[in-house]
Amino acid sequence: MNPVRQYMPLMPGWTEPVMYAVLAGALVALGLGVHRKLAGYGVTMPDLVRALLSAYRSQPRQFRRRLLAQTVRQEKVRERQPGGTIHSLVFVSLAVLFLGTTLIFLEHDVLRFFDLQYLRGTFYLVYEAVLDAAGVALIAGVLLALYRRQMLRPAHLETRAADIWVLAGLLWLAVSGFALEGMRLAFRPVPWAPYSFAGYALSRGLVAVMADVRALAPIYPWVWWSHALAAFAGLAALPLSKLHHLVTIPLNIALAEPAPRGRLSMPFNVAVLAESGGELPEGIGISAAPDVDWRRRLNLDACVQCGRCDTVCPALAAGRSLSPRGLVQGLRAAIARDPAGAGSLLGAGAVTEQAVWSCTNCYACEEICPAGVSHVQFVADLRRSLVADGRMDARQSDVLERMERNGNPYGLPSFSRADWLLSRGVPTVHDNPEFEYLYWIGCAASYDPRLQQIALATVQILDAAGVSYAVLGNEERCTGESARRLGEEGRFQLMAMENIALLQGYGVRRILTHCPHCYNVFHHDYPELGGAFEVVHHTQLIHQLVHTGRLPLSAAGAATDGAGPAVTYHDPCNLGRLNDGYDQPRELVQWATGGPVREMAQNRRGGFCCGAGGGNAWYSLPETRKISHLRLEQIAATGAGLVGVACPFCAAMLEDAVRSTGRQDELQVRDVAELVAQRLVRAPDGPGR
Amino acid sequence: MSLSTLLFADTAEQAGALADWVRPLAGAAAPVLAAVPAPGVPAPFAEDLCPPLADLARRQAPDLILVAATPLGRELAPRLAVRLGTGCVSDCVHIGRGEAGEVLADRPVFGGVAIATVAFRTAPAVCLVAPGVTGPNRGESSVVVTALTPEAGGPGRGKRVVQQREVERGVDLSAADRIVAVGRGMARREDLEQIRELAAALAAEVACSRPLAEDLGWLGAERQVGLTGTTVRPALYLAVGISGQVQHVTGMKDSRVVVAINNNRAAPIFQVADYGIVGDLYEAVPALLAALRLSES
Repeated sequence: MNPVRQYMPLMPGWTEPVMYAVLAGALVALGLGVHRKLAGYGVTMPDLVRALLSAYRSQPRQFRRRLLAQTVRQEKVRERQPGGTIHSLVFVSLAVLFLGTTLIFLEHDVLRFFDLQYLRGTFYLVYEAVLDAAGVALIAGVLLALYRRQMLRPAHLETRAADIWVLAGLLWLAVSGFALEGMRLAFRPVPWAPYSFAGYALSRGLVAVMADVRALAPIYPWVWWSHALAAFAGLAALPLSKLHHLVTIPLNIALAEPAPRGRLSMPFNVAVLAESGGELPEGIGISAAPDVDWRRRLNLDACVQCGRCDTVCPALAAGRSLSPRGLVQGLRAAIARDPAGAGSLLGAGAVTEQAVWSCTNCYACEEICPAGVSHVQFVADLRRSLVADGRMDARQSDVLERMERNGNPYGLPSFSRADWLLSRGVPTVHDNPEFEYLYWIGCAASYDPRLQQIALATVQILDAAGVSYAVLGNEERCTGESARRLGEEGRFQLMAMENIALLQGYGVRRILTHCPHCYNVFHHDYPELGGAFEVVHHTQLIHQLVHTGRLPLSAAGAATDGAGPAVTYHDPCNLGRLNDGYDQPRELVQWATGGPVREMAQNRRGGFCCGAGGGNAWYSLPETRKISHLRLEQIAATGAGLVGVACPFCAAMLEDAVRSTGRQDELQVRDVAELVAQRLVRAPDGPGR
Repeated sequence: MSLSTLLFADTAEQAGALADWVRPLAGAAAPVLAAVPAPGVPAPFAEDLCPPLADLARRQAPDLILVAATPLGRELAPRLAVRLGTGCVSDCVHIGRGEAGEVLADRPVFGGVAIATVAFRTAPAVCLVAPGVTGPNRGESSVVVTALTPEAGGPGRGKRVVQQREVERGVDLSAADRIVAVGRGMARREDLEQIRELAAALAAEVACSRPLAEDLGWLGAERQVGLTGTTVRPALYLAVGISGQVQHVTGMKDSRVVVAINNNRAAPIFQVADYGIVGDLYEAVPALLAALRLSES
């Protein structure tokens, strides 16, 4: 037996040139489509290639790693079921079939001139088996996808006619391929036919049911052409259909800026402008299509509408008028319609002012997005242009005004900000100028009597461990985090620069804070304005103190191990998703309470926001449920009587939800520092030394 | 030495209030000249009123130009000052004269914790005064009112009024002089009736803390005081069964007199209250109501 592949059996000799002519036509259509796409983005092919090269050169390892992880291994795609498995079936099978077809092309159209043939012998048998398996997988994947879209119809998945056309095309590609193979093996049986197991089975079936299989001969060329045309049509339709994600997603991921997630873009830098005498840019943020450059158009175009972002968006879950998918699709469609249009993008589909204000900047959408779309940065830029135009309601403008006037978003007196703290003998930078850590209290704990307990617990821990620290006292002001998240970039930068000057004036090198919002803004945003400090979240420091044995453990505390209420832990977005702080707070909760942390359904990377982020602590929007109440239900579902938190805003939101649902007796909300402080032996020394 | 004054207001009534307010400075005898927009122009633009007002000011050469701090006045005053090559002070609460006769204007700064006195080096002094500062028109001053016709085809020609709508608002807490606010201490929705009665007896508006509006829906969002509601500054704020979360205090801390009723002596509301009743609101409210009715009769 000498198995060998036959090229184009059963087809007339003119088939080949005609096929290549049609393929050439499809390639021309593909080229035109790509050209139009690039023109819509506003980038030329050479610039695109240059951008790719520079992205590669700046960080080659990360470039390779993220492409490998998200486009080859498709880690995020596979995270969710059943979509992940269906996608893998279709993706892998198509990749194998494409490779198989390319091998034929190579052998027949290139290597034959060198008298080389590799589709023979054992390799050919393996080839046939693998390609048949791929075909079966493709049919399975497409049928599952159709079943999901047409029968299961998950709410987050919008099915348009084009989605069905693409699936139908793929299905026909596979079915017609097997039909051809089955007919061929029925007409001209070969000894190695069983290796093409699916086609062989089909051929046996045909022979079994038909008196004379040759009767099928006239339809063979028709099926053959429909197979070829389906493949070529797919090629030509690549830039026009959702299939463009085969190219746009890898491109988007390849070009992704290597900035940390928690950092928003900086449209101008007041410090640099002051130095250079430059002028502020005319408009900032995004109001019309020309404000979206080609990279960000590509970013929008990478969206394939899988709708996963909608399934995790807390604002959407609360019934607010925000759909992250709708926002991205609305922007994408409006820009595609009129790439140079001067009209406002607000009002384009789901892109509304209320949608823009509804976002809590929790980044759940970006975390789950397999395409690397930057939803939150778009929200930030839309807010920036709204703020620049004064399109805010009084609550948003009031909070910005209070931040500037009173140095805190509450509008409470700045001159008595820390009286409650200083009266307890906590050292200021004047009392302890040699401090190691500058303990930044933040506005929430400065003004909310409940949240002051978090700072006091932290102070107690620092004292017990003998950490050298100091506070700014009444000189501390808001970091400006909410201003930045609300889109008031200028005010944020001025506040940040004042803070940086103040901190540098006291020789601060390390900042300790219990507030993840302050942490994130110090960590990611301040360095760009010249404020490079080492920033430590209190969970990190306390974790270190526990593990180096610097905290005196109370024996009484240890005795209650496991005897207290069941515990769970709520991830603050700014500590978790934005800064990967997942393990330390959990270990601390466990250590302090003695019980295992019962995880909620949505935890860690998938954690569900408390509703306060992105400036949402300071205003309210129409909604059917409160985000904090939704989270409270998840907490209650664990059966926990105690929820650990690591953010004063989460504490305030969840405690408010507990109060307003009357569950004070069932559930306690405690910061990690409060839990740890309960386990301490009283500190013998005075504070701060 | 009296201060020659020119007034600008939206209406003659407002101009009278400004004149009464400035009378001690301007001198009682001479009538004060006031300009108001000519009737018949429904929504004049500040940029079109500015040139005729500046012309008037140049002819009269007053020492002081007082502008009523309405939306129109706020936009007009700085334009006028620039056109006259002088300065403009907004939010004036008091106007006086310095030793050299210069105009001194007092205005609150740093959110009202301090008063800055601004001395004008140029004349005329353009000052914005809020209607709340002047008080009502008592008709004590004689005012000569001139109608200003906006300059046709003036700088405002690029704009036109496309729609005019009344602002729909059932209740405006921010303008209320007295407020009775109720919080989570209220056990049942029906008990709100007691609060309404108390508010009626005090001629006050009913307000509430966040849970009553957002979570329970007992009162509308327009009655919610606090961070995510309205910010109020009434003369009297009676907080009934409100614990005083910082989010609530932010919205009412600037009230002149705060009275709190709460059964928890440690409730933070007592830290901002001028008077406090530690007790059950179901006892305190009827008692207050009875006392109010007694004092009425």
